[in-house]
Amino acid sequence: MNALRQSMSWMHTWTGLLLGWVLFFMFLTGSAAYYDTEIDRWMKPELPPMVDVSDPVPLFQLALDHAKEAAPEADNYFIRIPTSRSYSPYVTARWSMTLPDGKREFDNVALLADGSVVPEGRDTGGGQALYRMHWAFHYIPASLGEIFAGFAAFFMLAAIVSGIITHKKIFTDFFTLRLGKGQRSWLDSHNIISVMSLPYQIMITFSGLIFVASTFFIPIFLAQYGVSNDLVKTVSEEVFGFSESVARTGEPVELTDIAPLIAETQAILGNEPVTRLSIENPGDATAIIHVQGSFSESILRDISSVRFDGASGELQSISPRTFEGSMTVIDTFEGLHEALFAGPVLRMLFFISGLMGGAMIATGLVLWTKKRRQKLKVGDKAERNLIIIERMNVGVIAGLSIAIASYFWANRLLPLDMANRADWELHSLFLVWLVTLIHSLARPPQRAWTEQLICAAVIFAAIPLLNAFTTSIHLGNTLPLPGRPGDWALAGVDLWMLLIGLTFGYAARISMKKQAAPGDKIRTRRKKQAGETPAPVPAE
Amino acid sequence: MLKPAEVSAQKKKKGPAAKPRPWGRLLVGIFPGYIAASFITSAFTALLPIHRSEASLLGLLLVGLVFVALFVYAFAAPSWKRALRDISLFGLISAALLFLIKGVFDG
Repeated sequence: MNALRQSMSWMHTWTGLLLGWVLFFMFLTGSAAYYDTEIDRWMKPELPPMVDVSDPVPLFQLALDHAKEAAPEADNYFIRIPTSRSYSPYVTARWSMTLPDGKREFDNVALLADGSVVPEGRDTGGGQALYRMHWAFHYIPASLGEIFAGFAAFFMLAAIVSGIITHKKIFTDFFTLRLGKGQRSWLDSHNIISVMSLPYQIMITFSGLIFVASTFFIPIFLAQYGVSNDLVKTVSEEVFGFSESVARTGEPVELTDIAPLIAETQAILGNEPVTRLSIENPGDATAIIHVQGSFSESILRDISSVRFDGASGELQSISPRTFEGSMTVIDTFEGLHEALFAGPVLRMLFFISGLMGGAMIATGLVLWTKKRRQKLKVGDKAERNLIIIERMNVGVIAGLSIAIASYFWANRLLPLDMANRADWELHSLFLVWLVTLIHSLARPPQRAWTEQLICAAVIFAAIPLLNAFTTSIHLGNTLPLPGRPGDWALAGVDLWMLLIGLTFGYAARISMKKQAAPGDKIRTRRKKQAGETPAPVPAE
Repeated sequence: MLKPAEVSAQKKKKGPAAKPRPWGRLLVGIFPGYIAASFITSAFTALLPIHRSEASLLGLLLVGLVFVALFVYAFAAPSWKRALRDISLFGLISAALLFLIKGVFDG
């Protein structure tokens, strides 16, 4: 058993070390994605608040009327009314058209409850950019990013398994935190953070692997379906239930009234709100209308759907959420991963657990360097790898945090009429990250830690202040007060920034203290190694 | 010749033999591990009396876990060569089983 534990400890170290930085990036950006819609709204401060969806029928109707007028020849219309987790807080209509050269053109519009078009607002990546970055990365094709994310999730799962096997006293360690003891403190922190959030870490890693499984494990489909040119089409239809659109007949038929269909669907769905409507072949005899529920109503990442004939309004089929077979397990894990169903408190716990995942990786990375340093004897020079990793850790852990904060700063400071503004927000993130990496390589590690942690504290804590100077959606207006409803979604972003800034400030204080008394313990240990008696510590 | 106490002291001083760098085991765990995991999972799901679409979904659920298990074995095995041998053997047996099921029974 000891040999197995040793092997697992060795594997835990190496798998963690190899992709630790990538995983840290994925955890940090992924955690921010739990608040993607709130960040979206925060990053477009000039836009009006979310539309009232208490009566959805007129909203669907006005969006359909708008789409029909804008694109009478469209192949399809997709209409969504917002939920608290929608990409857009407005009624949206999207459509596609086949052009004479066979290409497809897509367009969309966002509407307010009175039918007016929502103004464009500033060009920004918003929270969606952070969400997308956590699995597709940036500056590389999304498909490649997905495979890379799959590898990272696989390594993480392997590191978790090996970490659990390595852990001899998992219960005792849960209650053990010895502060101010160098490497021992880092190990205790790593253990306590890992054990506290272990169920979350297992769930998020395994579900992440399931998300990319259909890209990452293509041989599974090849084994069942054989090698053929139709593989993607067959698998899409048979396994995932995607159907090909029905060909138009060319016979013009007026689309049926959608109001009774929405009412009928609402009666079928019960408490689940109707939030989506899609129409295939509008204006044709083959028109089909799908009226759907909401993704955020269930832990399953699935949606109930009712299909009607577009000409007569006759109910054709009801597809409730799937509660059978492997698809239910897959949908449950994917639902848990995205947490669209989570209310404010559960969402906050997911967010904190995500940050704890990042902290677990960060403490593991630092622990590796501390262990290596401690093994050095008097007069030994540190290996080049150790020096580089030690310094890069600063640039990745503290530097990435600064870079993410600077993304929020860029949103407020870049000129509103700037060309490719949304791209430049993200370029700012990566440029700042590059600067912090260079800084961490140029400075002694302990100093770099202190400087970057101070920088992170200031840049995060100042975001609410920057927001107050540049927009009207600051805490003074968004914080709910007696007689004023406020807006928790927007206030929450500012409050989180403040809290994160304070946390970094606390970390910076610890780092400053350590810098002020450099290596007392190391000196004592080295003196011991050299056979000298350490000087007694004077009693206070 | 050293006395037992001296041997023990010397061992303590040197510490346990440092593990070599893990590249061999990593490669065995990743590449043969990936192929073997795909074959093992596919053969297992093909054995079950379920439709191929359901078998594919079950396979997607399980293959990651099998892959991780083989990867862990690559590190737990006495040597990377032994890990390579065992993982390849598992993969080959599963592949043979899969081709038998698909070729004979599906046909």
